[in-house]
This record gives sequence, C-alpha cells and structure tokens, in this order.
Amino acid sequence: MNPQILDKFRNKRTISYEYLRKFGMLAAFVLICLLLSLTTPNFFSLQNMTIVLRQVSINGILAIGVTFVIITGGIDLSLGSVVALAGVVAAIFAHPLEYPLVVPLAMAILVGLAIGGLNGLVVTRGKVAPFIVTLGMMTIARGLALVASDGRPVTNLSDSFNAIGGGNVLGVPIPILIFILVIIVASLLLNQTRIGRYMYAVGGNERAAYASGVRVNTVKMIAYMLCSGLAGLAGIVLASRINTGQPNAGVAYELDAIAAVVIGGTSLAGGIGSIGGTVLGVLLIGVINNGLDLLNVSSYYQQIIKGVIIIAAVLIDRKK
Amino acid sequence: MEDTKILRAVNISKSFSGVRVLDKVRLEIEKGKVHVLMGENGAGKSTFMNILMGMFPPDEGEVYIKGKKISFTSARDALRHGISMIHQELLVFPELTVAENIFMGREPAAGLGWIDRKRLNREAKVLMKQLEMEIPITAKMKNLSIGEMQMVEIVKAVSNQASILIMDEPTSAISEKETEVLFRTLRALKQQGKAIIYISHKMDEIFRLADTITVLRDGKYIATRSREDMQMDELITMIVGRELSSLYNKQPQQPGEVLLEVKGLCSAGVDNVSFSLRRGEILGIAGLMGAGRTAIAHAIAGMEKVTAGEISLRGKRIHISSPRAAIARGIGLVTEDRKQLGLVLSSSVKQNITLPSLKKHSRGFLLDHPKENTVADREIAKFRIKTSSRNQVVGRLSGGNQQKVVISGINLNDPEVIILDEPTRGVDVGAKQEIYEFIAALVARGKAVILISSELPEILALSDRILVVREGSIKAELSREEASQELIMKYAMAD
Repeated sequence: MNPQILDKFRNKRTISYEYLRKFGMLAAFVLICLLLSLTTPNFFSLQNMTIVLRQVSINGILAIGVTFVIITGGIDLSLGSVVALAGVVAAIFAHPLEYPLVVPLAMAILVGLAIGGLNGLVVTRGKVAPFIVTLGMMTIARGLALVASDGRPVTNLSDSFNAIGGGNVLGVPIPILIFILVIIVASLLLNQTRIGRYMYAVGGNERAAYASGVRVNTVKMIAYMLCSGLAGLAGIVLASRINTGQPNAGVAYELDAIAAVVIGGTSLAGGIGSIGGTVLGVLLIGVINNGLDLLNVSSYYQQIIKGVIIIAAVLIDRKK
Repeated sequence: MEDTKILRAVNISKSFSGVRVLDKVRLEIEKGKVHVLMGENGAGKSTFMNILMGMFPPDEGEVYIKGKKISFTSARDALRHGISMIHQELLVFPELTVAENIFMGREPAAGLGWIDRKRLNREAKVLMKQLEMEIPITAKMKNLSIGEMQMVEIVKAVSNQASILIMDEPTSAISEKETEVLFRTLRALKQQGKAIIYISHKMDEIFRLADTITVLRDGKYIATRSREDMQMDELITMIVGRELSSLYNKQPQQPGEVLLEVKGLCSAGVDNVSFSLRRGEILGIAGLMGAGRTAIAHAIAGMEKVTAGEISLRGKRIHISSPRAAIARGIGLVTEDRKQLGLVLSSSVKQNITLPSLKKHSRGFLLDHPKENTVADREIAKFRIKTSSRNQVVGRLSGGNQQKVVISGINLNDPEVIILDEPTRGVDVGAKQEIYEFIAALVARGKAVILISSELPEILALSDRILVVREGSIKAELSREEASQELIMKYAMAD
C-alpha cells in the first residue's frame, strides 16, 4: 500500500477515536439517563433532577478546581482536607450576631487560597512532585482543621450562613446556582484568557512553554490557588448545608473529584482537558449514584460500579 | 586465513519510511584488532551497529560470524553470538554493587534461588585482575565515576564470553586519565584476541588506537584502510566529501552595525566564548555534536544560566535570566530539539504559532480569538505549512512542517537576533529550501542570524563568518572565503 493511503487510513482511525472520546461519554451519559427513566418512575422528575444536581454541586466545584491543576500536569490530593478546614474556619466566624456574613465566607476562601499557594510554592520552587506535596498537605490541612475546632464540630451557626447550603433562589437550591456560576467562570478562564491557554501549554510541554517565554511557575501557582480556593468555596457550601463546621468532613472527596475529571477526558499527563468534560464526569457519577439508589442497589455495589466506570473511561482515553 | 575474520557484514541495506539510511554497507572485523568506524552524524553508524546488535533486521545483506551466516532477531541473539555493545549512555543498576552488576541475570546460585555471594565476589575479582583493573567489586555502582562504570560494563561484556565489543564514543564523557586506563584495557582485550569496533570522532584517539579504519558517509560505504595507509587530511575528505547542491544561493549582504556582542561568556558547557554579530549577518557555528554549540545558544537565549562574561545588545549590556527576558530584548531561539523544547505537541498548530507572542494577540488578559485566527492563517500561508487546518494537533504534522511552526512562532515576536539551532534537521528538501529563503529574507531586513548546523555544506553556503567550537570554546573563526569543510573538520576534531 502506498504511504499516502496508509496515512489516510490512519487519520480516519484517529478521528473515530476522537469522536469516541468526545462524544462517547456523552452518549453513555444519555444512555444511562434513558435507561434509568425507563426503569424507575421518579428519575426524570424535576424533583429528582434537583436532588441530583444539589448532590453533585460540591463534587462539581472541587472537580472543576482540580481540572486546572491536572491540565497543568499536576495533581491535588489535599482537597478533601481543605474542604474540612475551610468549613471549620467559616463556622468559627459564622456564629449568630458576631460578624457580617462576608467575614466567614472571605476567611474560608482565603484559607483555601493560602493552602493552594503553599502547595504551588513547594511544587514550583521546591521542585517536589505534586503528588507528594499535596499528600503532605492533605494531612496538614486535616490537622489544622482539628486544631482550629479542638477536634469537635463547630455548631450554632447563623441563619444567613445556613441559607447558603439550604436556601433557594426562585426555587433553585443555592448550591446549584454556585456550581453553575463556577462552571461559567472556569470555562471563560480556561478558554478566553491567556492564563488559560498557558495552563494547557505548561501541561502539554513545560519546557517548551518556558522556552516560549511563559512564566511557568506563576501559571502553576495560579492553578493550585484556584483549585484550593474553590475547595474553600466547597467547604462553605458543605458546612452551611450540614449547619456545622465538621473537622472530619470531606474525607476522600479529592478522589471523587479526580475521578470526575478523568471520566471527563482530561489527561492526567496534562495539556488536554476541558471544563465541559469535567462537568459531564461529575453528572455521570451523580446520575449513576442516584439511579442505583432508586434501583435499590446496595451502596456496596455502587462503589464497585463507580470503580469500573473510572477504569473504562481511562481505557477509552488510552485508545487514541 | 578464514578464521581471523570473526565478523563479516555484506551489503547491508536499511530504509526507514522510504529513506535509505544504509546502502550496501560492508564491514570485516578481525580478531585481536581495533576497527574504527567513522562518519558524520547521520552517516548511518548507529543504524549499522543496531543491526549488528540485533535491534532490527536489515532489509538486505548478510552477517557472517566465524564464517557462518546468522540472522539475529533480538539483542539476546547477538549476545549469544558474542557481540556486546558498550552504549554511550550506560545501562547500569546504580544501587547494586560492581560484582552484582557484572553478573546481572547470571548470578552464581546456591540453591533455592539464593545467590552464592562469595562465589560472585570471587569470580568478579578474578575478572578484574585479568583486565588489570582496580575497581572495588563491593562498591555500589552509583559511587563510581563514569569511566569506572564503563570499565565494569567492559568486564561484564567479557565475562559474557563476548568476542566482539562495540564501543560507541566511549571517551566522550570521561577524563583524560580515565581515557588512558580505557586504552590500556583495550590493548589487554586485543591481547586476549577480542575484536573491537570503536566509534569516535576524535582524530588523535583514532590514530593511536586503530588498526583499521572504515568510513561511512550518507549511509554508504566509502572505504576501509589500515591505519598506516591513512593520512588525516585524506580521512577528513572521505568523511565530509559531499557535493554542494543548488539548494543554496545566498545573496551576499553588506553587514551593518554591531548588534550583539558576547564577551568571555561562560555557562554549562561554555568556556570563555567571545564574538560579535552585525546586522544583516549570518554567523555560522560549526562543531561536532556535544561540542558546545547548543550550550552557547542556550546561554544567550536564557535557557541556561550565564556564570561569567557579558552580553551586549546594541552596545548596551543586558542580563538575560530566562527565555522570557531574552524574547523581551529581541533574541529568539529556534531550538534544535523541537519535540522537547519547541512545541506543545498536544496543542493545535494555531496555539503553537501564537504561544511565544500571545500577548500581542490578546486584549488585556482576554484572548482575541478572531485576531489570533487571522494571524495563524496568515502564518500558515506564509510558511506554506501543510496542515488540514489551524486547529490540527501539531504532533500530527511532518518534521518539516513542525519546524516551520516553531520558526513562525519565534518570528512573530520580530526578534532582532534569531538563533537557529539545526533548523533543517529531519526536514525534507522542500522545507529546507523554504527555511533557507526565510533566513535570507531575515538578513535582508537587517536582522542578525546565528546558524548552528552539523551540515557543513549548509553552514558554508549560508554563513558570512564561521565559528568552530570544540569543548565549549571557540577554536577558530573562519571568513566565508577561507572556510572549507576540511578546515572546519580539522578544527572541530583536533588542534
């Protein structure tokens, strides 16, 4: 066969894989939704959809944050602990009649940004592998949450604070609105700004990005701070929903977030990925959890099924 | 005298994706002799050796060992036939001891899968003694110098019953003293009747060591001579003797003011380098691989830290701490290694073209997509980049088109000084021509160009002046008139 024909053949194959990657997950998602609406009476009800969205909003915010870090070629394992720390810090400042609402919110997000800054600093200046740095930070942040709360849940929070997790605007739960807002801002940042473009460049080829004049360290710092800052936000939503600053909350949340990112087609090697994919990954996990609940499948089996989906998603990703 | 010819390779040919890299190459190796294999980078030496090592089969030709025709299918096969190669990059187990490295995979057993450590060390000691080496066999590999590691690799090969040792530029990374030790060992090996194939660029070494010399050029067999019948000048002519093609037709430029001045520059692999560069001038930098050409480029373009010396641009001293700083001052580097340093392979053609100059195509922090698209399409047309669209992933393009993407990206910052490091490596003839035209257009506009290339005809045809680099410093500065391939090779290889 002459090489040109071979090339054409090869291109065709790659294109079909690309379609599979891009739309395979969407097709799987639609298929699962269809199946669930046929097998359960309540799945497609507005009420159930609202429940699903509210359930996934915290994981969604975390997953979007860690998408930035993963696109730059890093990883963040400290998210779950940051959720707890930020929740505790917010709760400490959220007792009724002490501070205006903005104080607990600002404090929680600042704590998140600070942790992200530390992660980024050690990764960029200390040249320590992100896995190690954020693994260490996972323990540190958890410890800080326990220290700040004296190991006990922080309760007695103001009604205005509790409204964030429990309230509605025009019938839509506030966590869902926050999630949607985060999706919009994150998409704009990644697709419409220079820093977003640089994140892809750094993750795709760090040295080439450096040689092209990109401030690689700054870009990484921003990614880690965005990620932990959003974890701070997720911590606020969680604390407000359970009306408690719970230092033991959020354990293993980072793994669900990373799973959603991976299912959404973002490459753990960096340089490839999208917010849309991550949102799809988050929704897929949410819908499956919800559907299996509706089908009365035990939560033990749910874990197994979730694991299989994660591995299947990466297998598809490999076939390029 | 059949039995002295331990290895005979006849009419070996090999093509990679339609390009013939070896064309009827032959080689005869005798017992107890050092056979030096010479040729420029890309002459086909590595491919040839890889075939002898069984890394891949030849398309045509036969290999005979001790008169018996053999066909290897793997490196293991080659080892079984007594061929061993000491690679340039040594493959050792740093955490294990010298003795353990020597007997890796063939440890003397003491039953139940245990290793007979006493016997292991005893036998290692005996081997060391045979080759008159003094490396402690219980030392960990990682604590040895590169020269010592090489010695261990040789011992390992010998203990493996190797009768033919292939050594690929063994002295490129070791000290002079270690070189002496190596040569003594090689003589000992000759005494034992081993045959040695030795690849090197260093003239002095070759004339000291070689019994026989074979020259390859552009994948073809040129000649085999005994050392006594070979003169250095003749050897150089054999190595470089290529004809100038019509690819090059450079219009002579009238050089302008001095743009870049480098004084006493030191950096990793750069030792006290000084030169100046004028507007409208192409300055060629020639030298062998690893001689420091790329290191000089990297120091000027902010890729490596400058440890001493000064760089001035338009008479003003500048400090370049990063590629970003170099770009801001108007110095652009088209890197030799486009996959590692030049391109984000997972990104699109457009994104790669605009990456170095992205700020120019944005509004504040926001990207200006329409403008960026226009710029990308214009560049794709200007450089005749063959791509299905600006959104094509750049990793899918051919080498030549990838190179054009890199050049276009650097050029969009409109640098005053542009450094091109091996701009035509792995690039087809058509793209080569276009890159030459681009260089000519640059100097016509009063820019200054530093051209680094291993292709001597290219450097001779394009450069106004040529610096020859060896061991990190400039060994000669040749004018366009006096420069010749022979002269460049002479300075590049020895004083």
